[in-house]
Amino acid sequence: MARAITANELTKLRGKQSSRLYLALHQPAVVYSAQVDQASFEVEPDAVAYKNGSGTLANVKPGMTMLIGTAAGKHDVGMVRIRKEPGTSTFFIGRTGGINWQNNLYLTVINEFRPWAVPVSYYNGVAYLDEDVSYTNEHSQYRPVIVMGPPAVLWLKNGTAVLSPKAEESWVFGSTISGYSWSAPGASATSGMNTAEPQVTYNSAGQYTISCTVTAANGKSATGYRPVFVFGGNVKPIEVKSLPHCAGDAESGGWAAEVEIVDLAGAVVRDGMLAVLFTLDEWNGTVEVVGVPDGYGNILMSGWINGDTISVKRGYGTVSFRIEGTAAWLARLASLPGVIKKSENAAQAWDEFEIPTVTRAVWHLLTERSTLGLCTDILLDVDGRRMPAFDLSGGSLWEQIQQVCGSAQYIINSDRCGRVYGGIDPALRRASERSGIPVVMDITKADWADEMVIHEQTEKVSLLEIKGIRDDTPEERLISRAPGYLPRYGGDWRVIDWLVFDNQEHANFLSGQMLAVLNNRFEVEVALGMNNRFIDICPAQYVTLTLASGDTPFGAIFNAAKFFPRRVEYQFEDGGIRTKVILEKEVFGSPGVTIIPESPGGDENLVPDEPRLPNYPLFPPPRSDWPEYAPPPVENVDDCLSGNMFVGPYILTPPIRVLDTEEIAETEIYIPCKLRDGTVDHKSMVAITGYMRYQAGGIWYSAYTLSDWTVEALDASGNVVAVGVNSFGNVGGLMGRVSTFYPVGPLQIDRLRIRLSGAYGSVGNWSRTWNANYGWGGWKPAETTTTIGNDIYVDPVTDEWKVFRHVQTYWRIQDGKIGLRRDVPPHYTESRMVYEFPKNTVRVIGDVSKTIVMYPQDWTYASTFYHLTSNHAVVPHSYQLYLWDGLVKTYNWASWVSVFIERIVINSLAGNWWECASVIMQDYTCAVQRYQWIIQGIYLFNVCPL
Amino acid sequence: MADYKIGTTLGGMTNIESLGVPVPRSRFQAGERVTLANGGVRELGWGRAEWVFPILTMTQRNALRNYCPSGSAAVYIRTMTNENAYANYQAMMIWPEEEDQRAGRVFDLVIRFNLIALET
Repeated sequence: MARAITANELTKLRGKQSSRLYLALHQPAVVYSAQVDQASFEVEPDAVAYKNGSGTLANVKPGMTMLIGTAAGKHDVGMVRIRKEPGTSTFFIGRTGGINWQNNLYLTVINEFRPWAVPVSYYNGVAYLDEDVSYTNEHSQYRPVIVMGPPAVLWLKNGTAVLSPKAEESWVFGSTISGYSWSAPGASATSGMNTAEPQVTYNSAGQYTISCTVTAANGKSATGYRPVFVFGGNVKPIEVKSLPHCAGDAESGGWAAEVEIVDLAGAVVRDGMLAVLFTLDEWNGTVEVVGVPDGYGNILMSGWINGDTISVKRGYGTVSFRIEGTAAWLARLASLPGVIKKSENAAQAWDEFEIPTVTRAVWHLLTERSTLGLCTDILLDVDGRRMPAFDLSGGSLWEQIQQVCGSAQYIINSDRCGRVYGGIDPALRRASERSGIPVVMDITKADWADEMVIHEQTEKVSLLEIKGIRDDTPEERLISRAPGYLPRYGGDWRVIDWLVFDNQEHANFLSGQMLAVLNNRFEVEVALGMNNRFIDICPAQYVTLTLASGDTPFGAIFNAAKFFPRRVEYQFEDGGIRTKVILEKEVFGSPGVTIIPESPGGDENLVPDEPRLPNYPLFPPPRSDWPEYAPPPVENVDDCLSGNMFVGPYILTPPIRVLDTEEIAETEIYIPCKLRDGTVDHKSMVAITGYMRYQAGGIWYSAYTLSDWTVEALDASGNVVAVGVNSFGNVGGLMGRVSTFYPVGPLQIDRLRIRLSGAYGSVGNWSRTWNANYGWGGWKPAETTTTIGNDIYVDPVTDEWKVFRHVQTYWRIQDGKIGLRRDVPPHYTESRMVYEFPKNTVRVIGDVSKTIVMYPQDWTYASTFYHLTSNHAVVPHSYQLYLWDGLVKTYNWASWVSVFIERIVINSLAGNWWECASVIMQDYTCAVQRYQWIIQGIYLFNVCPL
Repeated sequence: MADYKIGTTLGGMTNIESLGVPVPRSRFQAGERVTLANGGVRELGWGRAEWVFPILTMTQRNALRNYCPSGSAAVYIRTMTNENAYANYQAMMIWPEEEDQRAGRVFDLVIRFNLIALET
């Protein structure tokens, strides 16, 4: 919780000050070591057999890091997460790509808890957490969230260092915290270990770990772990040579720092290692900690090292790297797509909630789909607004969190110490909801140095319309427009959709407030010539600013005006820490006006009763998709094409997220790449997650078994060059579909096309919509050379009796829409031509065992009706030729195409005739089942760059 | 008697005169001055002390150099502040990049100390 600076602290901040900047690198102890005892492996195993174990197996905890190396203690092969307690000969690990498992590799479990993604997998339609954890009641009897403070940095003073962690902010949905149990191995003394605020004393320098298990009244418990660094005597921290960057930014969600150090003091630097930047501050000659969080104010920034940024300059003997906070790490954690949906009663699965709220969905992502709860504090303001479901199509945990938050103006940030805070954007709260936000300090001319930069912007948005659903009545569509029915003088019009409102009044408040925030005139950069550890981007807090008109050339007047800190930067030079803050002025808008949605049938009849929630476009950062959908570089394309390795997945975002047989039934995705030969081990494959549904009686039902979909690979000219083979039913995502390509030889493609088809003839009755009787008033023998009827004639060259009517049925696919030209509803997408030879209108002369061929030949007809086996003088039956596209239920024409039955041919042998008196042509149409495919993610595997 | 001292530990500081080094001219800056919007200044960052020796023999020079064999070294010093009083500091001793050495003497040697922390 942020708090106001006390007068005593303010005096120190405004006085003489200097700092020493240090780095604490967590060097976790080895808990257990072993070697791989397994000769062959799955591609990404979730368990590995081991031998030569050393250590106490019971100390291996879920969430710990296991190093995999070619020698003891090394991690040159990779790192994985321990996902559950090991067996006597098996480690159970999180599936991790890119590890070349070999027998006899060295395995080292270390006492490290860091952020990892925890997958939800689907087997036979059942969701499992972390490979094999079945759901019981976790979404009705919730696990608590442990809040126990950040990693601590202490100095021995007179031989002791005392840590006083606090866990009273731990929380749980629907229950209360009933017990605390702390553990502090290595401490010289402890007290209150079963209270919320114990005291832990150390009498020697070193690195320790404390843990706390909180128990809720519902019987559920959770455990958190935090490193404790104790320095003193000969145990010294690493001195920081320079700090090129250290900033927290609300837009990116958290903090990051770049550091350069000269001497690692024997420490090892690797990816994922916890790093704590901290200071020893002197205030007017007195060493003291002045800052928040209380007890941890010496921490400048805490995060984990991004291994990709480690740079060793051997010539200079320096090491530099980037430390990234929680948000950046969540963005690095890939997460399988899926949904969080509402259950009818109590939740029965990991992806269900009886009441899906933003807070619960975020809690699920942070504490169940990641290990974050083990290693950092998570504090979420409860927002009770409900959604029918949440789309989790983003590729990383951070993207999925943004998707969940977007509809409810909920934002997630982490503070300097990596603690995660969630809540409604304070700038979008009602005035009454801001009363609890503390004012950290009033910035006066005694505080700021250099020039104050005031960005004033003119109006950007002249009219804002927001749309969404009502919290308690999701089928009710609410729309509000601000400033009113008419726009302001200048600026763009903007529409934001898929929000959730308490009610219409809330929508009106929000439209006005959003417009005010969008058009906020003032953003102020203030360079505080001081080491200020009180202002942060979260939790929600104000600073106030007082300016007289003569204080700045700009002439702005602020009288203790409230601002929200949106960015905080620290600069360190020659022992001085300067703080720069970027502030957003608090504004209040006037409520917008109510817009009544159009009647059903209009454009507004689009209640989102299924997850289809695009990103909230204003406040969370935009998604960063794979640029241009081009595969990332592979070192050797030939190696890639050899198919020996698994490549990808490459996440594609389709232009269309919902395919609908009544609307847009196909989508194309530009992805120039090469498909692998179909004979290689790892074939090119596309996996589409999401789910299908069909409508009957106005109600949507899941369509688990629908297989009427296609994936095609097209070349640059739009020709289909490879067709996907739908080889699997389910993949990791909810009701995912997988299609494997089997081209002969590597194949260059330009794009993918995905189509959804209806189930033909599955519903409805065929109805005759048009017919014509072509009679010619008497028997006409086949040898007759004149045209019979309108277009029925006998071909004198081939001796064939033909209908050459050019019966044209106009199909078209436009914007992926299949329809008939004639005035039929768009979902009447199947049509049959029936040629009926009425009874006693066909007679055969001579031997007939004839075949009937229709052209084009890829059109088929009902076999039961065409075959003539009897030698009848007069064929006593009605013969019907049913023509429809029975082989391929999709149509390849990109625009209006006239498809016609060119002719019908009844072969007759020389001297043997057919005679026909009349033919009736009928045109039948049939309602095709309406299907939708809600696509949440498209993943392309095992393709290679051009 | 002047009381300029230097050592590698606080308790092990030695009066530089006992090392045969003459008393320097010293300069002291409490910290970088940040000018505030109200016209005031704030001393921010490490203080700085400089010991200026107009002329040293090589023996005297080396007696100081022993404390800083490379470009910089962590030391403790006792030096004169602007308040005409001596104070102890944990300091980073910065040896000058260039020296004016002639005829076995060093002229105008300026040794800078970044004053990391006041030691009381």
